[in-house]
Amino acid sequence: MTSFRVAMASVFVFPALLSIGAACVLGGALAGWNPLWREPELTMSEAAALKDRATMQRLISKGVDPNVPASVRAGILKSRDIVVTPLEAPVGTRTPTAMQFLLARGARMDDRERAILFCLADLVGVTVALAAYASGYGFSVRNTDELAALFGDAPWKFYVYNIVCAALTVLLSEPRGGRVPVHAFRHRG
Amino acid sequence: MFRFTRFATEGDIPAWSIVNVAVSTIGTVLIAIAIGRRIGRWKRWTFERDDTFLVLFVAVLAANSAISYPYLKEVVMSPAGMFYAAALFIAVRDVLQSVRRHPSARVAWLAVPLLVISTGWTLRAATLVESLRASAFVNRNDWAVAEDREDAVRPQWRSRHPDAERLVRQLRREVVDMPVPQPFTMPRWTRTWIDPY
Repeated sequence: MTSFRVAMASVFVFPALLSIGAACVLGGALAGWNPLWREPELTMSEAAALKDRATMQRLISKGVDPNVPASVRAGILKSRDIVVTPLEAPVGTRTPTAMQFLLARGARMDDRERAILFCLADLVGVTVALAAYASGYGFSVRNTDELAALFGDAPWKFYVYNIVCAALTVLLSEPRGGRVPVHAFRHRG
Repeated sequence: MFRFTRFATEGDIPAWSIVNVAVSTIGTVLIAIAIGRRIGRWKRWTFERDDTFLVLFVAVLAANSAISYPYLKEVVMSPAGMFYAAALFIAVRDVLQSVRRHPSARVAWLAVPLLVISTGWTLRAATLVESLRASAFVNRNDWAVAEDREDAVRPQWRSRHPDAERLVRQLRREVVDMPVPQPFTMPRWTRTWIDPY
């Protein structure tokens, strides 16, 4: 009987603990306590560096000027607090989408600003972002041309590969990320 | 992609990948044993209530895999994943019943794989919170550029209905004002335990 109790305990102890934790979180949520769902106050530059377009939109709606330099706390761009403009911040984290977002909403890039941005971009090695759809195969993601070269004469092989891998995804948790949008940055140097 | 194998060849396997593969492999072995014990009965077309879950799991897995032929995407396999959980429940209950019927020190070792899958799946369930946080962040950001995207994809959308613009702006404001955790606030040490895919 002891072996049965040990087996039962091994199955139920951790899920029971998780259930208790989940119940505490749900109960806390009813009382306004949300330990897993807190949003930090961000400045415009911090939001730009972290690609947080929703926060940028909210700040702009509140009347915050997207051209005014603001502080960025330690750990986001540098190991210490720094003050940069919202347009300069995304260069440090290589997030051109944030820069596009700001430019479409009133951020100005004058000659001085442009010179600083190009200098920063050169330092961190950002050139261009590319976006394309591809498919995972083997140990890497292959683009359309590579897949065509591999399976162009017999696409059924690729289909069979996908069917087998789809089943393995459930049975073994591998492979992962079969088809992913690839947003990659080309780095220089 | 076979990420676990790739991590292994690179000599750096993150904890989440080990947990994923270990618990899924043990779970699949237990389900295979449960099916193996019943297969003789199934050949005689005799099915009990528990058998239905196992047969349904095999059928849904096969059907789900078949419709995944053009490309791999985990979300397509979600129904099979749900039936996997039901099948695993039957398999684990089989193990517990066999321990109850034949209690011995040797059988008690079965508690080890049970403890591994129980702990592993608990961890995966707990880290699901981070997946929800990440999805909320992505969705809220997408809503921030909803108008820009519609302009690019459907240039005539503003004129299609007199309230189209007002509706999109209202929805955008509601979503953008909703508090969502910033991924930056997650401690770095958690990254090795959280499945990013």
